[in-house]
Amino acid sequence: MYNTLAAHFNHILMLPGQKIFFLCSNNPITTDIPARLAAKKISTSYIKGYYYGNLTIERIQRLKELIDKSTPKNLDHSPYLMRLMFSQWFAKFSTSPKPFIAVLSLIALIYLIRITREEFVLFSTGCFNMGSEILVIFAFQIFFGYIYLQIGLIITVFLAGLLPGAWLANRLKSIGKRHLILTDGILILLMAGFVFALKFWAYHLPVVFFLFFGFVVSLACGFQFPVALHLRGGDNSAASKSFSADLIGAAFGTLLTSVVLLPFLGIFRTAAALIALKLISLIWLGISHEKN
Amino acid sequence: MKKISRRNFIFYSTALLSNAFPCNAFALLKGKNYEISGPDDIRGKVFKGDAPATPWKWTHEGYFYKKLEGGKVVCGICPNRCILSSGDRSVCRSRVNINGVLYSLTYGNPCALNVDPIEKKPLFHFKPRSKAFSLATTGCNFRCLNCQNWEISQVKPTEVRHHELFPPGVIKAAIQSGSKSIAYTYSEPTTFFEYMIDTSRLAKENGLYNLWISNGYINKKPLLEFCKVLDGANVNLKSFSDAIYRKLNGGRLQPVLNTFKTLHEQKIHFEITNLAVPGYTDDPDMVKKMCEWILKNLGADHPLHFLRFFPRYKLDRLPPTPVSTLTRFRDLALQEGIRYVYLGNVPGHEGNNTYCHNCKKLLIERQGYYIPTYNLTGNQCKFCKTVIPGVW
Repeated sequence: MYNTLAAHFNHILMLPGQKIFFLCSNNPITTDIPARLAAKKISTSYIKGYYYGNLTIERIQRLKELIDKSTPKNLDHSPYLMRLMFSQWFAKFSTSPKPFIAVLSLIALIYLIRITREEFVLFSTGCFNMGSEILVIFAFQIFFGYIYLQIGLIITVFLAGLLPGAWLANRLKSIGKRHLILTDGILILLMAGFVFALKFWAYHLPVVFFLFFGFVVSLACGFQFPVALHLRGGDNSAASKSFSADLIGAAFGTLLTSVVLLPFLGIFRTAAALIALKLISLIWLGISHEKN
Repeated sequence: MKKISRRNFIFYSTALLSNAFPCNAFALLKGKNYEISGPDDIRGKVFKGDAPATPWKWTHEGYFYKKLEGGKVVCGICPNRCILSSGDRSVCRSRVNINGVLYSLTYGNPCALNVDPIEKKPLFHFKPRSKAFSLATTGCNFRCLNCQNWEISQVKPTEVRHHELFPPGVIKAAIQSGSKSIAYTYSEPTTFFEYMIDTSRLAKENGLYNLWISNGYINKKPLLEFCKVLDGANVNLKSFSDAIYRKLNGGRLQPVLNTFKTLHEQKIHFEITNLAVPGYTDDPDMVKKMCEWILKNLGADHPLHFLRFFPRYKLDRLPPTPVSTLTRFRDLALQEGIRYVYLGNVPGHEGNNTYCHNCKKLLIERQGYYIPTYNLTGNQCKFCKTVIPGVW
């Protein structure tokens, strides 16, 4: 936090305690707040009574000495503090996420080895859809700061496109893997366009941009499900396996994006990871021969 | 209306109840003392094979330990009595067995050094308005879920940034800071016993007081040795229930009560602190029993501080203690007969002030650590000349 603020302010005063308060200014900041209040004839019993015992010059100085200037800044697109908060939480409870991640990765690996090409497409689509949703929620909060007002709308648009997408796919006269390749390509382009827009026009993007992105992503995802199901055969077993792949992918995408990708990689590299996942799906589709 | 069959009734009822149980839906039926979630015993365990291979600069052989067969040692400082094989680390994380010798790892490497008002300890009846040079190393023999200093108490010495300050350096720094006393505080000073007692002996020779701010979880033998140089203490009586001690603090009650008795017998000035944690230690019946025990075993003169809990560490989901609860506890303790009962972490409350137990007049007014009113002459009430217990 200090390093982040230091890039924008000439003077930062940190007041130590259970919570550290950062006072920032381009002019020098005095540490003797009670004296300043007294000079302005503002009477305070709490600050006068506790300040000198809790906020000594030595404590303030010692806190400043703890600053590690090599620590990365906390930026909108790379929330380093979130990573630290996770680390602190694990330290507090003397535990580690590593066994959980290892077990999850192993299960995912076993599952991915056993699934078919179409199921992998649906798995990656579920993952991409939920990953995009988390990414949009996160980006929206950063750039607008009032996610609670819009979160219902964002989640709705990420679901609203599924039905028309499926309806469109069902209207196709001949279904082939080219449709999956096409929609995978569209998803990749959408994510690339989304990141590009964030990079260059982040604070000028309207709310509708985020909503439109969510709708189009879910439209493409909804389109893929009947296509993949058709290619798998369309029987009961195929339906249940396809649906499972979609749901498992969605669960995996939610967990991976919110707990690992965003805190550790930031927005842009998370988007790159989602694009990479879809590229794998695209390449696998491209290099394999059509069954029917 | 369609009738439900007996089979369907049993099926749906079972389904409903099987969902209700994991949701703890019947907790409220148990009355106000419903079960607090979490394990019943959180006492720490020895860290097997976690000791450094060789002693480091701040290693010092322990003063109270026994060598056992097979290179094992048993630490004699606190009631945990950790039995350590070679290469093991104690529950408090600060003591290790290296090749059959018990070492303290924190001799001369404090991780916290501050000059505090003595009222902050809290010590209200010991040299008021004076400063205490306060120091701590890492380590604690408890595992309190609400620890305020868990960043230093629940870590190993190597996991924090620390200073090098051997006992002569502590004395020099304390005198330079204008402090009248040295307070061993913040984490659990019992875990750095060797550093604490050596510094205390030197402090005594240099006219400084020694203050022990502790959970009181110490064995009698080292405590008696420490009492030879100890001037004042604030010991935290975390609750008056062994079950809560095990569940909330990872310790036991009886050794702490023994500590109070020893301090009382040794005529050390001490004050008692009790933190009212909602749902754990805010039971008036328990507070009443605690006050009765204090009166019977320690007398009415040891100040008792009820502290307000604020969400911390693993108990950050709990709300702060209502001020009304603390006020009720203070009234209860005063009615029981304890003469000086204070409230901590409640600014502006009359429970911050000292009133003469005889004439009830205001002796010391406290606004935080600032004392605008002081009506004692020596150790006597300025109004009725009653001797007020404490070190003034």
